Amino acid sequence: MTNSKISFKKFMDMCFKTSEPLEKQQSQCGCETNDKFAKVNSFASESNQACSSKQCGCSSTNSLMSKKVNRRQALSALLGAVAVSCSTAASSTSISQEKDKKEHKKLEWEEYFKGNYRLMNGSERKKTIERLERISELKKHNATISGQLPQKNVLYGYAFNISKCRGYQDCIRACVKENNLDRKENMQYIRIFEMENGNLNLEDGKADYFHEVPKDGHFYLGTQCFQCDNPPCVAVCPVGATWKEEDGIVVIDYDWCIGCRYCQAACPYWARRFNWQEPEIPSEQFNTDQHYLSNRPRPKGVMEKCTYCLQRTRKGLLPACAEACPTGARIFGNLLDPNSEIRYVLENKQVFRLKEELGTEPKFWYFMD
Amino acid sequence: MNKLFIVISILLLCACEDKTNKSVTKYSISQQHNDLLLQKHDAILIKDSDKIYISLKKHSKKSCEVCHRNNLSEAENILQDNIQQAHFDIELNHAEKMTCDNCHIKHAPQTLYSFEKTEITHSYQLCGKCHFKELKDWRGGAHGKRLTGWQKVRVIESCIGCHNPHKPKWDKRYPLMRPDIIPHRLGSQK
Repeated sequence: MTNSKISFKKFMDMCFKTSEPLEKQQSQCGCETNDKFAKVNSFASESNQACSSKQCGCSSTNSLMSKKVNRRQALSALLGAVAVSCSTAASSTSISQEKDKKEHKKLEWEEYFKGNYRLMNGSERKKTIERLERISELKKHNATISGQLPQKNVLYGYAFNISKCRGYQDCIRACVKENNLDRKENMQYIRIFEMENGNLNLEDGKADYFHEVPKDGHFYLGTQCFQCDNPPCVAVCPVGATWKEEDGIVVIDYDWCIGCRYCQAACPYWARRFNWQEPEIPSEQFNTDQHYLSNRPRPKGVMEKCTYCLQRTRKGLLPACAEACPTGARIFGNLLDPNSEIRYVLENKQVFRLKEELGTEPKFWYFMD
Repeated sequence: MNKLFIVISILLLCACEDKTNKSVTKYSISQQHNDLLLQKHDAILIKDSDKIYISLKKHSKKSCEVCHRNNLSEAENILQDNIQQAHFDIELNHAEKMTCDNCHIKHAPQTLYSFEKTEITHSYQLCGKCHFKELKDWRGGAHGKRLTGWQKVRVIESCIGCHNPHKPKWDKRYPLMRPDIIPHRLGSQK
């Protein structure tokens, strides 16, 4: 047992090149050192053999553990129990950049082994958020990631006035900026369809118009994620990476998503987007006010979608699209508050929803003056 | 016994005071937050409501009194000197038949008049004389634009915050481009 424990420590050390003395010993006894993740698996067996033979000094990690340097101490305190397994002494002589690189890789390594965000308890959530914030700091984005929980007695609802919308697309611009959407692939959560008067078939709508708006004889209808109360995308997810929060927002754990795109096929409103590549955002336009479940940068190969800007709405602000709309066509509020604007619209206006017959119960209504 | 009683009563008093102090500070913090928001939006309470505020940010900062002074003869002199008439830049296109007299009265530039006097800051009352449906929706929340968050004190844009009262229809314009589309997407890609 002791052997296997020590070999794991050594294996971790080899992964992150954390200790210089150990490396020296390894090189003396013919052990190779490499910090590339790709070769980690082949190394594990090698290090096992080397250390179990006890011919070299590699197994004397107990003496190394007593030498502790500040950086390592601080880091291990930050990372908690996961880091204990690799808490060996670190060399204070290495250059700061290399240190950062090592730390970055170590944090990313630990991120691989975290669980589903929905099932995590408070301290686990805090730890992963701290790790992600540190990674962001090392990447020089300096984002603050929040894990704010849903407010009690709140259920978000949205109403869209199709006789007010004039197709200016200010909402799309605000959304792209707020949610750190990929600029290269032209990703956007919101689509504004230009539709001919009297026709409500979305497939006849044009979403790529570029001329003076509003065009005569046309109206404009915006779609985005409708945060269904009975979401088909959640039902089909094979790994439980997407779920409905208590305030009615359907969210995705980007680190749990496997990118199978079942949800994209299941959504009847074309609301979900897939990252075919790592999102490209100019660093000066990076929004640093982030939420774990909403606008933090997504990796390649995962799904993403509108979350009614929950990093804003949970603080009591309006979503970016509703705030940017110059016409007042977008109305947002709490469905459980009888004095809210959204409740006034639902009680006094003729409202309809898209594809109501499917029983998805979207919380997004359209109305006319 | 007397001493004990006094000590206990003092302790009780202290406890009571603490509680009241806490509630006062809590109230004042939220009040301060609201006040800041109202100040930021230059907001005033609308009539017949204790919850709805309108923003005066987009109202004209230039007082009418700059030209419409008490001494009318002076104003008339200014008019005679200039070739252009006063308010030459106002393009009036409101319901086709309306003229200045429908809303303004002579010698009282800060007051609007249509059946009854209306303060210029509460112009929604006058607009609502004809657009009563819109006024109802505006008060309820289906018309107009909210300036503060959904959970905060409700400050909304007044009628003239969005519509020019002399020409209330909006102009056409081009839709906004997405921010910084990376240039090679616009055609320079190989």
